[in-house]
Amino acid sequence: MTNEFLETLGIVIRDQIIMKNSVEIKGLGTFKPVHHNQKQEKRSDGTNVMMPPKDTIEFTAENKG
Amino acid sequence: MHIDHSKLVELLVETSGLEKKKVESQLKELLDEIKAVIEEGDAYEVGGLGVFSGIGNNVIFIPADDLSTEINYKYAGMEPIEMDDAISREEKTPQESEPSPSETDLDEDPFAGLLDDVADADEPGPHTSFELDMDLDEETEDHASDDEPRKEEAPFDLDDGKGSETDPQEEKPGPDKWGIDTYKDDTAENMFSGLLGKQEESQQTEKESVKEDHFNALFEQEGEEGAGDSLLSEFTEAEDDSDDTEEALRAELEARPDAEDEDDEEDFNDPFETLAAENNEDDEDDSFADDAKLTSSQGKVEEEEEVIPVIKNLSSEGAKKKRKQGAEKAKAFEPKKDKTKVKTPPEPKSQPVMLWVLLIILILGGGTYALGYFGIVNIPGVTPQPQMASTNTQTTPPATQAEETTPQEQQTPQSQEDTPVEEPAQVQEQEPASQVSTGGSVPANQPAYGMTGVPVSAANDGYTIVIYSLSRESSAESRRNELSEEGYRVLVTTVPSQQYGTLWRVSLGQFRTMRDAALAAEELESPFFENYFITKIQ
Repeated sequence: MTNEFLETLGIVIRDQIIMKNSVEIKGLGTFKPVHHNQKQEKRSDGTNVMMPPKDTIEFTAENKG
Repeated sequence: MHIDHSKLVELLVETSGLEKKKVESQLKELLDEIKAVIEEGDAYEVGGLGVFSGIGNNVIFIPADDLSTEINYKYAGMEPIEMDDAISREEKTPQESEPSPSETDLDEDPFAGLLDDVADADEPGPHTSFELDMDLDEETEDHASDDEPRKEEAPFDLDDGKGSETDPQEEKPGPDKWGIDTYKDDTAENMFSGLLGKQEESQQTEKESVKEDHFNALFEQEGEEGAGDSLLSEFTEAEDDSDDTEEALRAELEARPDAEDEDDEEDFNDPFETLAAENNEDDEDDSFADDAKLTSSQGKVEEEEEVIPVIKNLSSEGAKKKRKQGAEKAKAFEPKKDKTKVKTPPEPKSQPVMLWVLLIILILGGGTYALGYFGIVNIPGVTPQPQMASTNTQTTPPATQAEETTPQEQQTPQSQEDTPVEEPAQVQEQEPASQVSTGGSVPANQPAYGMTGVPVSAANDGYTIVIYSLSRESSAESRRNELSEEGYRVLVTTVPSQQYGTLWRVSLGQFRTMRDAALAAEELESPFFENYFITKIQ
């Protein structure tokens, strides 16, 4: 296992997540992109702001429990 | 789309150029290593990807910061939009009656009122039929609870177990206050004693006079209880004449020197405890005749000591002043005790020096900051960096930059770190400057705001619906042309990103309020309907 391989693996997973694809690694789990739409949020100072959208990665382990 | 294990291996083979067996073996080796580390209770980090760790039998994954940022490249430069401003703009319209932000139930859909308003307003039919599918009704995080006013409590109780009177007079600074504020007053006086000079003395005399009034009340009680105590009453009267106290006492002492000495010694015993002991021994040696007076006076002193320890225990300013006054009196009556007088500490002189040093440091720091701020001295983080015009300094984005609508392209945002670094704060400033107009003239009958038509510069203070974030200007131009031909009002803005260079955002429409934009976005066609966001044009 080389560092180049780890780097390549990270790039491949990242690109697939960006393209809204879920990636499964057998024996480990699945990476899934989750989109969060912009939403209204109330700040501590009382002002209401519209938070920008964002994407996150949700990981589901293969062997649960 | 789901990338299973076999597809992942294929992608790894394509990207790395390694053989399939080698890729599979390395992948298996990685998995074994991750499992082994997790079983040991440790975490395994894959650079650029994230950290794998285990909680119980579950494996959790925490994405790396770089990865989290890169997958959000489309939203680079987006800042939270103040809703209050938008609401205030919307309130100007007469047909809308939206509750104030404080009255709005934030747990509800923030756009829930949109449909009602649409139904009430005389707008075209399609508006009334659709449902808002946005996730804008997600739970609103209310952080206001963190700012709930807290009742300030005293850090510790200074009542010394003597009850918790809530007499407001005791809270005020003055002789009746026995607590930590007394220390504060002392400290404040000491700090500025060298600067204030005579003013301190005047304040001290004022406090002494007030303190004497307090003791008058105490001694009057004593006088009532121990009726006939002429010595104490005379002493009290003498103290009433604040300025003539020493003279009156001196006259009294001339009549009864020994007894008065004992009074003074016992009264202010702390700093002169040893001296008082010596004095008692001397007096005992002198004559036993004075013992009768001594016992009577000591009895009175014991009565006073019933009051004085309260002052001592609280270490109040009054007690200190009392001791000081006693020391002065003792000094007047016993010249031998001058050597044991409490000497004024040299601190009052040194503290102003510290103040001056602090003042000089502050001035030097401020001057340095000002020099850095105005660019005379280059201080990183202080000296403002020259701003770069995104349209002029933009380098060609890497061809590998992924586009939102071209998923086949492989994105390598890490290779874009050489692109100009610009602050996110410049985004808002550069967006209007980099606004690409269609060049077409605005028809006379075209409304200022809307989804279709030609962009109007006067409407750039509103909101727009972003549907593309592209890494190439040519792609953005082609999208704009396509959409313009379909009749959309298309805006193309550039968003400089520190990590991805410049992104070209293609957005549709100009809307006066965010509500109007949200309503219009619901009518978008399916490719745009699924993934869009609303942002301010300027």
